[in-house]
Amino acid sequence: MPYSVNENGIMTENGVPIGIVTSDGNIFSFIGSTDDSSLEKDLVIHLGVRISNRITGDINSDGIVNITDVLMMLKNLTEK
Amino acid sequence: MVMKRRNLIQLLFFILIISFFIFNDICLAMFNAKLKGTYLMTTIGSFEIYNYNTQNVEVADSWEDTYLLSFDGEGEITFLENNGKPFSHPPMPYSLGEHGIISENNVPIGIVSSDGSLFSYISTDYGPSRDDLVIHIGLKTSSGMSNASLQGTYLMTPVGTKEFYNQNFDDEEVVDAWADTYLLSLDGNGRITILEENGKPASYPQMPYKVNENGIMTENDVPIGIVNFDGSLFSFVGSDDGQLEDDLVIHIGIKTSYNMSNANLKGTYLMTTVGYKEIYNHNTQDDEVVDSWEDTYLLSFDGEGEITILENNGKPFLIRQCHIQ
Repeated sequence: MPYSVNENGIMTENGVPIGIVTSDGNIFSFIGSTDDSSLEKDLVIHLGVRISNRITGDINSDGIVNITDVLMMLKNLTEK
Repeated sequence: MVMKRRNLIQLLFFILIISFFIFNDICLAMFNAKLKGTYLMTTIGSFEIYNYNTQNVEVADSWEDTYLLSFDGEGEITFLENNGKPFSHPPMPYSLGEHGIISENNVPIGIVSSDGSLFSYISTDYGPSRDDLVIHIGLKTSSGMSNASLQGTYLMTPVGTKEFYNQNFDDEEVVDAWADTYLLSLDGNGRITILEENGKPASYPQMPYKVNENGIMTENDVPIGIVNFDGSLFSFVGSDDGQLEDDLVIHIGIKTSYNMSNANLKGTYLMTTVGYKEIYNHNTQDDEVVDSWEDTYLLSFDGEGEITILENNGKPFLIRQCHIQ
């Protein structure tokens, strides 16, 4: 499906604003208002949140787990 | 010698198993720690019933609320207030999975933002005679906030329903639903000007707003919503409680920014959705809301203008099954 974000972070469909993205791109909200026929209309709100890393810092942008964090955690555990 | 080696392998295996469980517990504890502190949660819900008279499903009621909640960071929620009044409710457990995803029976129902300042989840309660469908949006309270925290241009996306008291049946029914966008200017001094409605110039009287020290938006001193710590996002509910009609709305507002493009939406997102279907009833010659639903979608944005839907309610998404409106 296509999407379009303008210069101000506003999401548009056929040039009409339907939602907006936060400046860091982590959160968006948009509405849907379909009028498939003269008898039916669907009205929807969507809130999207970017998925964060498993544990802060333990997965790099390629999705590779940094095993050092895991080993450090286990080391700290055994020292306790 | 063989026995020693076998014992050593067994010992290593035992250590590995124990380490796995300990590490798993630590991970879960770390996931839960993402939600810690006091949050104001805005909620809008509705319930569907089967109407034996019309032999159709219909949306019979809708509501909205605010809840002040305390998350302990270790898996327990304490309810503090409901719509500004002390609220007595037993503490409830919560459990965050990896990536900040909130799940129920292994089905994703919501998500926490990476900084823990926002969460959103849906809840569905399929009862014997009615189905309750609710969406919740929570923002963390902060300090040093005021009307000045909301200043600039925001795009707001409200969705609402109109509840009507039908005197013929002595009952309430939901007769209207809407979803719109409003471009707003908030002056940092308690006044909102509506600039556009669905992309067209709008002319409405200015409206007041009030943000307290903790970022909570109030109306007549009753909490109706909240602003996040940097004023870039707000959520509030609105109720226009008339004698026969009541408009129930949830609003999400996000501050506009500069130099944005498709590239700003890139990565995997979990999206919570609530929707309503409105039809024109030829018998009553009026609109009515006959369906409501909520879903979670796992989406991949490529940063170049293309969205791929990966999952719908935790299951691989098949285009023929449903689509995002």
